[in-house]
Amino acid sequence: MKQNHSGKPNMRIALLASAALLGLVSHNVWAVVTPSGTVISNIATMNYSVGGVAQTPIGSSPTGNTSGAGTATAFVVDNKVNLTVAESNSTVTSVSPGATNQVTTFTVTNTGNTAQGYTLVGANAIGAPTVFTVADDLDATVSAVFVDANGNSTYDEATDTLSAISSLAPGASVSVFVLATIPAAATNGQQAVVTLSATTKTAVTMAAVAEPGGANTASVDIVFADSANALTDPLAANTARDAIGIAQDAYRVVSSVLSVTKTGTVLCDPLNGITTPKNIPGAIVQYTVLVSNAAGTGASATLTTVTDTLAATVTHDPGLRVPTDAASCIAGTSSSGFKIVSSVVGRTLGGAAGVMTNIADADGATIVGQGLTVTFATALPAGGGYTAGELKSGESATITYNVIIN
Amino acid sequence: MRISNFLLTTSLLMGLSSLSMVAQAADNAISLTSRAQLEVEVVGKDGKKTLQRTPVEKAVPASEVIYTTTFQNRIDKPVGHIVINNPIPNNSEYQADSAFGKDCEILFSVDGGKSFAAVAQLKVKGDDGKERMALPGDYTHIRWIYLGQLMAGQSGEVGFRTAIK
Repeated sequence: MKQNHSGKPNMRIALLASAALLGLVSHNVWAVVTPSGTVISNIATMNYSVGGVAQTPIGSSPTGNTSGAGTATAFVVDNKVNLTVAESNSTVTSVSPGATNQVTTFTVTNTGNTAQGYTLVGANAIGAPTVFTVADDLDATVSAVFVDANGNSTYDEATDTLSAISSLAPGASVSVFVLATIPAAATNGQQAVVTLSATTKTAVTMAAVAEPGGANTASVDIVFADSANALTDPLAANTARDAIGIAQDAYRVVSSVLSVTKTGTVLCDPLNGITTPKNIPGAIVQYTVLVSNAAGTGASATLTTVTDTLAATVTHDPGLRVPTDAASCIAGTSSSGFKIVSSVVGRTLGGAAGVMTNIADADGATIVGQGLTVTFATALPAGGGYTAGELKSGESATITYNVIIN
Repeated sequence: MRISNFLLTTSLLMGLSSLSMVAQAADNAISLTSRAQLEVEVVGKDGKKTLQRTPVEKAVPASEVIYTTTFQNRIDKPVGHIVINNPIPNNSEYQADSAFGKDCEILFSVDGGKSFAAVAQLKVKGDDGKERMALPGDYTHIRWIYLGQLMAGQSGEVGFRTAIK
């Protein structure tokens, strides 16, 4: 039996979608689907015999072919408009009260089969949607929306300046940054939810896209294929097949709660020594300044300075005397009159393991006249996972110095 | 999409040549028609949903397309040794178990139509270089071998389904 093993060559017309990225760097996340405009064609071939005599094979046609190679049964692949918008890093953006241009990051992905443009709208969420297990109870003011121009998924003020996606290839995705201002009156733990919506447009021209209501046409038609979402925000309650994608992200206020406590204790007096000493002239009083960052907020504080202007009735003890009796109840002889202790064991401290001199140098403590200043950037230097002057949530630092009653 | 319909207008010529070609007396013996269709759900007046086939409209990636090839005996003699070959169309993936054809043996090719075998015998080399069972996505061609003869005036139908990649 004669058999024709050769299939007819497929007629391929590759209409390359304009995948020019036009200033965007994007990422392909999956295999590219069949581009719109692709002609899919097919011809069946039949071998047969009549009266035992093999006949010339014939090809099929859409309407019935009786001889020869036939005609392809073909159609053109339409433009499937589909997109996803997603929050990028699966967590909130921690912010401080009053902070400006705070960034939440989203990812817009073209899941259709044609390069598309997208307009972008960022907005404070309406209602009180719960995002990352916390309900919205604060309104952030969205100041801008920018597209990631260099593909690093990080907002770069000088680089990321476009507010719409002009062309995104099928299968490609790009980061979008929403910038917002946090109210100055915001308190620790409050959360502001924002939404980003992306609306599909014609690539480059940014003309609107619409699904034709009527019958199929010979040219490439537009078919919306995006799904609905379950967001409760009225703005976000978009329906299936509307060419709009939307997602939410949140800003959570994380502010440190600092407390400063100063206490004074009489160490000794010249008559009683260290046994029930009294506040009499010549007595040494030890001041303790405790700076604490409350536990539970998760926010570090960066301490700057603590200052204390001593009353004229006392004199700073330049040697941080540790008296043992009435005779030793006098000013110390060294010039290291300050000590800092951290609640964190092993943290690097300024001076000699926290013992700081009175003079203006790099150890973090100085005294000028009656004015005492401790500078935390050097008293609590950077290192070991800390930035200079950083006091993490739940930690404290204690500064100690002595004065002698005149 | 409208089915491209480029009718060959050479039937008159063919008719003349058939008169002179005695050895191939059976030209025009068979009419071979291929249709591409979609299946859409239609809700009737009684609320019942039925599947209706329509010409391929609104075809996008993941759309399922049904290809049907009809062959008809147009002469007064039986036609035998019927073998129909059809490539899986470009940008399309064969859907498992979708090939149909009454009184036909159905074979597949995974090498561009060079060789054909039943599903259970089809093997391809995987990405790791090892041979594995062929998957529907590996199929390149389908072959229907019609068992028996197609009598005068009779017709048969074979086909398959694909998904647009």
